[in-house]
Amino acid sequence: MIQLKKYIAAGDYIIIILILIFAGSIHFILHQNLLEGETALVSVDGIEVTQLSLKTTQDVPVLGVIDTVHVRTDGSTIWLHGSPCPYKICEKMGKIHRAGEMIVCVPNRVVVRILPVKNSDLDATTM
Amino acid sequence: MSRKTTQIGLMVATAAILFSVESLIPVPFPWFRLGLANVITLLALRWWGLKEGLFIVLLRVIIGSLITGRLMQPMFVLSLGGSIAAALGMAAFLPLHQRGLSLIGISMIGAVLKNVTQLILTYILIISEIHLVFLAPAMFVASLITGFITGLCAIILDHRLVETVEIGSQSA
Repeated sequence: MIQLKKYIAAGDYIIIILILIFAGSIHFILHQNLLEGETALVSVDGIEVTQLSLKTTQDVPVLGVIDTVHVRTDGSTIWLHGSPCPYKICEKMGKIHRAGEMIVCVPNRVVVRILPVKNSDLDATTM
Repeated sequence: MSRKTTQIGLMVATAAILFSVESLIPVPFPWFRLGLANVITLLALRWWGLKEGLFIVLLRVIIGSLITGRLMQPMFVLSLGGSIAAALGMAAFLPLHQRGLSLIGISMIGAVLKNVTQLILTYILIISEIHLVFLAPAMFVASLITGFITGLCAIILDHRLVETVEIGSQSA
């Protein structure tokens, strides 16, 4: 059994803490006030392909730069399935459902992003 | 041929093999690729310096991408950019080795810089979506874990190789 303490220096703990604080802060800032999304935008190579409602159950094939990937919704979440990319990172990103969250498949250049929810009360007030 | 040249050649070969083999292994979580080839980069930086470290990175990425068939593809640019950033970052912090930082801490810094650089390159070259920043926190945490493991490997290899083989600048 490797004695980890023997190998770790005091500065390493500081690095770990600083990176965790930094990651936590970014996560907190980005996910503050995130609302449940209603619509997801699917784009390939920067060009919008379709918009899907998260409130429906769908399986939509989308042609990326490598091959077709399936975008699926189940009534509240959206995810990618059957990606042709080598690492399948996009599939492992799992299901998303909050506005602003996204799934990215870099090799296939497919991006699924949940659009911000339009606040009708705010629109009415500012109008 | 000097001993140092031979040792650097062996390091390039080892790094290229690690890079190629690791790219074939599926990852359990996004961004959880260990980057075992970075162990070789870290050791080269420690033993010889930045010039040799960058030389090994360059050859490793080119040879590894040739083997995996990804030369000059977007993933090649991401690998090269990320690895160079990691090497520069680790080289910058190496003077603090044994003065508060171990190779584990330095490796974690390298892993974070690698992922941040790859995220920026992805934004510039592939997907110009500012929302990519949403991926950053998970990347940072994954970098900590992978950097920790590769740093630990580097420490163990460093001890073993320096003890058993005449290696490093003093033997060149």
